[in-house]
Amino acid sequence: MDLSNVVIAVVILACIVMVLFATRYTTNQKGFDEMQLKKRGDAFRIGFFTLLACVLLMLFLNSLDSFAEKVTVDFMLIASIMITACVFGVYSIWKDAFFRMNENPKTYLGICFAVVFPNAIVLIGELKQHGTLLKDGKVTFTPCGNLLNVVTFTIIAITIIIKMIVNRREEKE
Amino acid sequence: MKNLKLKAARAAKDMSQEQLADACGVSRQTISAIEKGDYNPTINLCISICKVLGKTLDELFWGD
Repeated sequence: MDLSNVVIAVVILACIVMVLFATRYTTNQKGFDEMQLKKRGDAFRIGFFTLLACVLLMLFLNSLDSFAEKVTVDFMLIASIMITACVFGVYSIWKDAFFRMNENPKTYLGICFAVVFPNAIVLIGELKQHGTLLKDGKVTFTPCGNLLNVVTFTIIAITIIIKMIVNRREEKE
Repeated sequence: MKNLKLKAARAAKDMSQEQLADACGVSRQTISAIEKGDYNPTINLCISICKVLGKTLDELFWGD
């Protein structure tokens, strides 16, 4: 049996397990009220179509020789996932469907900063050492993946902060 | 369309959105969205709100 077939089978199996896992835990989400569940459904749908669009765009760009020479497939894959996570996060946070009822958003802010700081340190180190984020003139998984992490989690953190301010104002009214 | 009847009934009971939300088992944002007309609640939540505010479904959720 060809090794690539084994890899494909493992990936398909992993996808099935992930879908089963996700549906098991998304159909019984305790701590979310009815409006939050509806908005989360919208967020998942938007995220799904975003991922689909990103993958299609990735396939198209990868078919262009001039682009494929400069950007690796693994970077494009991680970029697609990060864009999807960002879209889902921002949409559900803005629609009050990301946090469970009475959950403190500050915990998630802490997680965001815990992700941003190490990645930012890696980026700064890379820039100091090589003066560029490219490897052999290519955009690669590392360190450009670190840049994606920084951007994604910074956007999510900013959204959480803005939403906290908006909610606080609403509560006062 | 804004649900001013709900807002008025809540104010008449001297309840904040947070208190009404806690009594109904939903988030404050859900009550806010219902009052703003951004979200149409299920019949179960409507009944729950009516019970807490001592009103009927017609009084709170039936349009004029």
